Amino acid sequence: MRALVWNGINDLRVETVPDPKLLNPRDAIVKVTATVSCGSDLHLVGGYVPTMRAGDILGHEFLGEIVEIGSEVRDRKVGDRVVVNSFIACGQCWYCLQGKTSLCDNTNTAPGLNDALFGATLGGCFGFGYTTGGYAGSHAEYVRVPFVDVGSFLIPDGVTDAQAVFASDAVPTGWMGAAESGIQAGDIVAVWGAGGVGQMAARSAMLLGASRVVVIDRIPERLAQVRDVIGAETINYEEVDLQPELRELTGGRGADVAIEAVGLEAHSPGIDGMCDKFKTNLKLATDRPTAVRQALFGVRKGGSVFVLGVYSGFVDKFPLGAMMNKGLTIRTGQQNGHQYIPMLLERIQRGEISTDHLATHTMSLEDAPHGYDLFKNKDDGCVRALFKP
Amino acid sequence: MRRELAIVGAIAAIGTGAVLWSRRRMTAERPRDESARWRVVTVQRSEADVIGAMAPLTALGSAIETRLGTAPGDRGTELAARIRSGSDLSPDDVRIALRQTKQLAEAGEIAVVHPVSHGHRRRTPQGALLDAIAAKSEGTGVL
Repeated sequence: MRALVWNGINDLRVETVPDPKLLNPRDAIVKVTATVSCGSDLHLVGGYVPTMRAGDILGHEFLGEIVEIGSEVRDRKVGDRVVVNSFIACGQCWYCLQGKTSLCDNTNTAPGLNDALFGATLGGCFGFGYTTGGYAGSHAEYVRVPFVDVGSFLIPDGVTDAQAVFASDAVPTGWMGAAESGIQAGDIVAVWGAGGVGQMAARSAMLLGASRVVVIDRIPERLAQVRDVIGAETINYEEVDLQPELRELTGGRGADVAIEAVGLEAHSPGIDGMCDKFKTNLKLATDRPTAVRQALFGVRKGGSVFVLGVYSGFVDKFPLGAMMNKGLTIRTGQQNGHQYIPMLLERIQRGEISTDHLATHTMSLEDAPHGYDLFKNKDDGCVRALFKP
Repeated sequence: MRRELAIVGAIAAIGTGAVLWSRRRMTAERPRDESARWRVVTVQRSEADVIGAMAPLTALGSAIETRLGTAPGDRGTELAARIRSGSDLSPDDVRIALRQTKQLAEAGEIAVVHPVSHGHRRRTPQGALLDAIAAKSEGTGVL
């Protein structure tokens, strides 16, 4: 089959690779019909998360048709059109039973690596290197899906591929950030990042009762989508002084809830952002926590911050003092979307959540390296590139 | 590109080494004979279910001893194993058997990725490092 393969830093190629096989009784093989680029892929492409092996297949946000199932699969059948959660969960361990499926005890095949880096082992994930188990990614014609009866979801009638594919990751990630940050009716919510996850977090906050939602970014096309499609307010941090602007917008209090949806490659025009970039470029640091710092300063006293952006290692100049003295509640996590996806697909079907506008560029898998160039450089208004194998 | 990969690989190795070293420093009070201590996993199943899934541990025979107990907070069963004195079994073997028993009891199967679909595997410093870490990581960690 054909697949998009990581060959080194910023070196992606489409190659012919072996077809996947059923390896366990609860596996399925899914013929991929839509798979999208995700901002967290860029951390792998750029070498910020150095756990990709030359030859690894990229991609984790996808849907398709089940073409083969293992002997113990009960709730899925060949021919089902499903969207697959990017995280692989067994559905039976204590974490899965608590709904924390990204923390599944039983799906990561490299537990020692995780234990060394994080002191515990994450669940498995498609196309994210050895940190999450070394599973092959979805930017391919076929992908092996372990525990398919836990991690795949039937797509409702009338929902298109371009709508449903984002229910794999961006929508549940955004929903989790909003739902688990404790938004109360009337709250003002600030979201850092106007990419797919940030937009979905903003829309989720609105659906959960926030009185005002403001999204912070610097890319005009993305901010326009936030205003025109999501219906939230925007701040372009390159045009105004962010913290005073946010304080003014919130009646002098600060945001009740801050959701950070940027991750470890954050940009900033400030001196802290410049220092962060200098250090990561010289490989003196792994992550740029600029947006997290801004969120901690921008949230009100006693407020809540949810870190949705992906971080891999260690950061400098973390404002622990602000976090402690303001009495903030910090929540974080990879997405635990299994519990949310059926509800979110229904909301997409009813038109409560718009997603297909995120797929600004649709192309064949053969053009995926070009798609990643557009996505990485945010050229031509690219928000997400959708590949059709 | 090779130079960049080498740098990334070196940083990853140094970073991982630093974390392991600092954790070892923080746990300096651990018993001197590391291989002989109990290793424990919590299994979200009853003792009877765990006993029924212990094939990976029983395969180690008399080289190990095991014990089971009820986990607090309705979290199932705590399953422990340690290497008997005089055995040449490695702690990695015990860790792997404990993890596999937990997976069989909870999920009904053991997570695997090989053979995995992949493209051309070029020989790179980062790849060699990752292959070595991945090969070892099934039997290592805090367990």
